[in-house]
Amino acid sequence: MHQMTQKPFWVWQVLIATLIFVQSAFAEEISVQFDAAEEILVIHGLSPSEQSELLAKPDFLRLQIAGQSSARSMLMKLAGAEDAVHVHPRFSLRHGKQYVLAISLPDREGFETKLLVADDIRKPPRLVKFEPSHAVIPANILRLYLMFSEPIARGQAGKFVTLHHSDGTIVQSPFLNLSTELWDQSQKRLTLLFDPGRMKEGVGPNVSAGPPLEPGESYRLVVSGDLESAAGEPVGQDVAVSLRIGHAKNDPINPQEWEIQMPKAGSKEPVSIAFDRIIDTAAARRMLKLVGPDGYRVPGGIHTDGGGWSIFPPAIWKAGLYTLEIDPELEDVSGNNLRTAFDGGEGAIGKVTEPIFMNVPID
Amino acid sequence: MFSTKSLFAASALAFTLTTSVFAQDSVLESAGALAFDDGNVLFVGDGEAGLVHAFDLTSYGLSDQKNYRLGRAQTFEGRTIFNNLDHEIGALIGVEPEDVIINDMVVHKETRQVFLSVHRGRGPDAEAMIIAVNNGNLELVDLNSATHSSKSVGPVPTTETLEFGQTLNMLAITDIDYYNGEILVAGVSNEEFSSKLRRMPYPFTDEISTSSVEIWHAVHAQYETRAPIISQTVAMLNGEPTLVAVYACTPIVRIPLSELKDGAQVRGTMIGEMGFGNTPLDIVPYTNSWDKSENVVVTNTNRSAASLSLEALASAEAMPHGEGVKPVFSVAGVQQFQLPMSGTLHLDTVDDAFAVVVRRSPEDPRNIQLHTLPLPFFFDRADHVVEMNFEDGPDPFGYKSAPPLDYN
Repeated sequence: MHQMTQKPFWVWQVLIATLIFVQSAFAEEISVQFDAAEEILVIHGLSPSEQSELLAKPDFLRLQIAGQSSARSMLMKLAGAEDAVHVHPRFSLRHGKQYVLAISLPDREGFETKLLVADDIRKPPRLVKFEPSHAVIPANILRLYLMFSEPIARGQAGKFVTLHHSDGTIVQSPFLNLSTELWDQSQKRLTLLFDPGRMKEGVGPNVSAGPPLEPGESYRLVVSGDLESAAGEPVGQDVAVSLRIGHAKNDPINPQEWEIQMPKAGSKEPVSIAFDRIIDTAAARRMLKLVGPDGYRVPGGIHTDGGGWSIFPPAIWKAGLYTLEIDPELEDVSGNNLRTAFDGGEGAIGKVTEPIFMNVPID
Repeated sequence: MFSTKSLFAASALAFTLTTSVFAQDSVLESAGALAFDDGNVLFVGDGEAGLVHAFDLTSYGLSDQKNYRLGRAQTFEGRTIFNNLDHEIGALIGVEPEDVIINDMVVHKETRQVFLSVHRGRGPDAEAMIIAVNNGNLELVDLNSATHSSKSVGPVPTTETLEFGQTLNMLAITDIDYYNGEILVAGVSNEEFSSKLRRMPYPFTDEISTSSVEIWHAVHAQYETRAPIISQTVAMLNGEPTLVAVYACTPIVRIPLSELKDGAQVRGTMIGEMGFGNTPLDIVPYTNSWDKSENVVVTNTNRSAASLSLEALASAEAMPHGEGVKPVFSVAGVQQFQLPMSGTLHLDTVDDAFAVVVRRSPEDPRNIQLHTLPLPFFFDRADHVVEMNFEDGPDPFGYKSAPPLDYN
């Protein structure tokens, strides 16, 4: 079945299933059709007087998702057509769900029919990427990213994403327990924020539970097979990512420590930076800009795994002085930035608020 | 089954109807934190769009709820306005209860009307909406009938960012507060660990100021340079408007508003600690009508709620800090009064006599209730095993002689 994912262009090709006729004392046989393109339910078979009765008192009609406890009807509007009544639901009927349409005019037998809205083709979501993907990550890492192949339903991460010691025991509440989960707009990328209270060395949880990650240890981050996509399809099997933990990184980012590799003018080789640490990949994509001699940003393709960053030019490099612009909010995976280490002491914030510029001469 | 004839009729119909009777697209991409100004303007945090919306609901038709009885505060009786609120909203919008996400709740004080920010669905295409409670009924708020303005609080897709194919930093807006012609917006980013506090005038102008707040954190026994504020309120402390904020790892901090200038690096004074392993949900001001004291109530994920008096907040000494100070792991600092609330998901006050909560029922956590709680103790007698509730139990305050409540 062809499927388009953008909301305004939904096309439902096959629709509706059964009509169950409850004993009917209506003038004719009532039939209900679902016009998927217009998202209207069309009721035929009402007599003109029944039609006007219904239009005058829309409460006689009830549209509900099947199997619910509330007697409340979905929001909708009714409109009269030549020989039919049109039901315009305020919200689109959801794919794969069954709805009930019931009409009960006074002194008439009730009419009720069930409508099954055709389902999308559902793909089980897969964990496609994990960042940072480095062999060893610092013990005071603040943030992990999980990327999925399909949009994931909100509200499950706390339950279905867990951290385990190498012996299989579970690490108790390592992540910040916010009421809002941190997804990107597509809901394919989840940000896991370690509880900053647990990340600080030698305090708090060290006394009772120990820090979530110990240097030299290995852990498994497990995504449960029960985690469901937004369409309701589970991952299927548990997926585990191995984490090897190194020493905590606790000093500000100093771009002077980076190695920048300049290509020759006339080539299409990338400008590449090797970082001295693991930079947050999302921040590296967003907060490093290469500006050309003409003052415009180079619209190149950016690649980064957090350990390095490179930009491939759209055309051959022209000779000149390029500038790497570094946003002061750039962070490494441990939350250190250009101003301060994450565990900065008194007065450490606010040292740098302007972008840093580095010369990148290409000749 | 349909006849060929009726299918043909359906396809013919498609040509005759070109516009939907609901000719509106929601201006909301998401609907999170809610707040009212002193009048009829509803602020809605929209993290997905990176916006704070302002809807003037005057023309929507706010509806006075003064005849809707909320319970009887004198006898500690609250009222369940809805059982299975998620089921009821689900019925209204045609989805199963698990596809109803209630993100926040706010009370319009003048009319006592309750507003909820709701998502229909859990996916990226979830529809965002505002639902109003009107004399025990649920209503979808037609936002198109309201005068609308909005203000960016974060990066929004621009031609440039889209061209470069970057993922976008998103701010999950955790709280909005209105005070004296301004709103304060707190949030957590999915890509940055920031203590930035956004402050902007309303009606919106081009002005927006962000300040970073540094606090001494007793649990860590060191300066916490960066941590996101989760919830906040503005209170008059010692005659000065002061931000009272709770952080992700639950210190309570006070900062005079006058210090929150654009680009400023501010030292907040940490005056309390809600304890480790706990995330605050809301901080809401209220007046204790018994002793006329001004207070705030803080609700939490893992603990019952706590009440703190403004007097105590104002006079609290800054918690000790510096060399030789040992970390604090439990509740500490300014005096807190524990409140007997549990399962609270959202809370706001209605007036001096009642608060309203979205909560898990104390009897059945699957039952999401919209329920009122008598002030000043946020205590509903029926929720608790107390002798006064027993048929043959003592009745020192004469509760049983009070006439039975007749709810409209």
